Amino acid sequence: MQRWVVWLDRLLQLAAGTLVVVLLGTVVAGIVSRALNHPLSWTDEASGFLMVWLACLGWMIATRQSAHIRIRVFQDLLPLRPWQGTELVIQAATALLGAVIAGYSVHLIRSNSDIEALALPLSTAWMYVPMLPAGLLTLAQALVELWRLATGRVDKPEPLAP
Amino acid sequence: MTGLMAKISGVWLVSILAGLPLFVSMGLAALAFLWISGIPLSVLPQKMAGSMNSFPIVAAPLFILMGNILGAAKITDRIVAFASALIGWVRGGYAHASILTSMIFAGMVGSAVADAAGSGAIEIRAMKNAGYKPETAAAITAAAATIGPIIPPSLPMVIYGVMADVSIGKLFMAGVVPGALMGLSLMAMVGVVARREGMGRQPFAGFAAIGRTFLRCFFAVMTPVVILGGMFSGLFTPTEAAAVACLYALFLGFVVYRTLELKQLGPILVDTAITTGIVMVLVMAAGALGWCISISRVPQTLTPMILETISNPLLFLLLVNVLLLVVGCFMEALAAMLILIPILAPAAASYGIDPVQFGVIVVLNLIIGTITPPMGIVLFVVIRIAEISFETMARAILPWLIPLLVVLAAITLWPPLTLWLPGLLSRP
Repeated sequence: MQRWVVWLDRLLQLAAGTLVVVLLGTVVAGIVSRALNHPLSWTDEASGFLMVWLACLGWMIATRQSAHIRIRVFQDLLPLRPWQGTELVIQAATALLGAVIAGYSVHLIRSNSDIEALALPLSTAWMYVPMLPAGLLTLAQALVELWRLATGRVDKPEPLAP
Repeated sequence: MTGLMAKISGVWLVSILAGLPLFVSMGLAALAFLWISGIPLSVLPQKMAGSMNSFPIVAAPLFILMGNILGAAKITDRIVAFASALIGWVRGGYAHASILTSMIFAGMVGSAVADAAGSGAIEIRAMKNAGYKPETAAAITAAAATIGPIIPPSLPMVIYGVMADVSIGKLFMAGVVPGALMGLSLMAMVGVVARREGMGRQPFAGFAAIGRTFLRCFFAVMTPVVILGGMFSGLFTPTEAAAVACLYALFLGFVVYRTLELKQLGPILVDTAITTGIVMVLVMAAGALGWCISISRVPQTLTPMILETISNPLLFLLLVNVLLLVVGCFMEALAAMLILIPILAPAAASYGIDPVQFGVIVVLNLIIGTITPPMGIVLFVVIRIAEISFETMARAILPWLIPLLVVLAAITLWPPLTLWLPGLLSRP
């Protein structure tokens, strides 16, 4: 199991790094083609699509690394038991959001699958496709955290300020 | 619907303070609104994805990439050497050089944390070696790092421009004068405290050394010229300027300075993606929540109330400053901006306040929040570098807030400080 998780993390990082390069290349292609008097019609639209993908992949990596911004100052003042209680609610709320995003992304992908993008020979559904794994990973990570909390494997973090 | 949104906002703010990740709290607030109002829940992922599908927002990851490349290329050392040769001979020379370094580095990075992390170690070490108190060195570095997101390029200004539909180019130009004033006011503060703090001076390095060190960092110093020159000559949009700046940064790292190695590119790209993810998921959730706020007519309800209660635009701006400074003490700058822009920007427009001036005021307020305890993220960066306690840092930073607050008051009271330069460059 651990090996699969490491493999997933590496895959996410590889995909995200590649997307940054592709995004940069797409914007540069737009500049160069315009300078050569043969402007490409698809670069702006492609950049928008790639941006959604990059944001979702970055969101997934940040979820895996627990790097999302949280105000922990007040929660960390609580004694252990209430801290665990609030953490339980927080992870359950995160799981709910992940489930809703994943579930309704499927609906969006289906309903947009026959709508073609303006300049790209692609369905607009591709814009919503990365929301599905992002929602699923948010849900899965929150469920893992809930399980770790329930089995007493989560320690209360030390306060940030020394 | 406004009443419903107000109730949801109350629960949402409590959930933020209780420790819920900010994007989750915003997403759930939007979800609750949609569910109770009977609007299809598919609007949530639709608006989240839709808020990313925009060309101007692409500037954000590209500016993050540029900052990461220049950080990895260790260009800071050259800038510090130049700043020390230029101004190190004045009393408090290392402090002045540190501030000047941050002003120059601000043209290459768009965030205060990147500025503090990128140039902080070398600046604080130099000041400590020169006999400065560690907490003074850390406070000067932290205060100077706030110049990073004011002088262009600026990540918060890109986000503000996209959220409030304001020209990113004009916001960038509007930050130049306030950024320079922040640097000058901090230098004036150094001048005031230098003798009392026992800050020494270095011998004058000579004009040849100034010229030599300037040439060593010349191409790096030209980065903002490439960005702003390209934008205001009409060659590039802000997003395209960010892409060109990335290529320029790669050129500096691989060809000019040869301080970058190929093996560093992987971590740089992944780091860019993670920072983009952390920032953009907030923008996505704020996009969905912003849509809920707009259809619940919160701005249309709140703005007349604000206008009725506060008749004077200046009083409104002063109250906004107080509100943002307090919020900035407890909340991450970007999150606070995303939450407050949909409410404050329409009200400011109703008073006839220029959206560019208002944007700079909002960004400066919240950036000052990054160096105010208890939630000053830049403070956390510098205390680790300076190896001092948070309590010591919290006391040491207080006097250095004064010059920044003076600049904030100046740009609030006198709009030409922010609007003169964008107006000058936008003339046909």
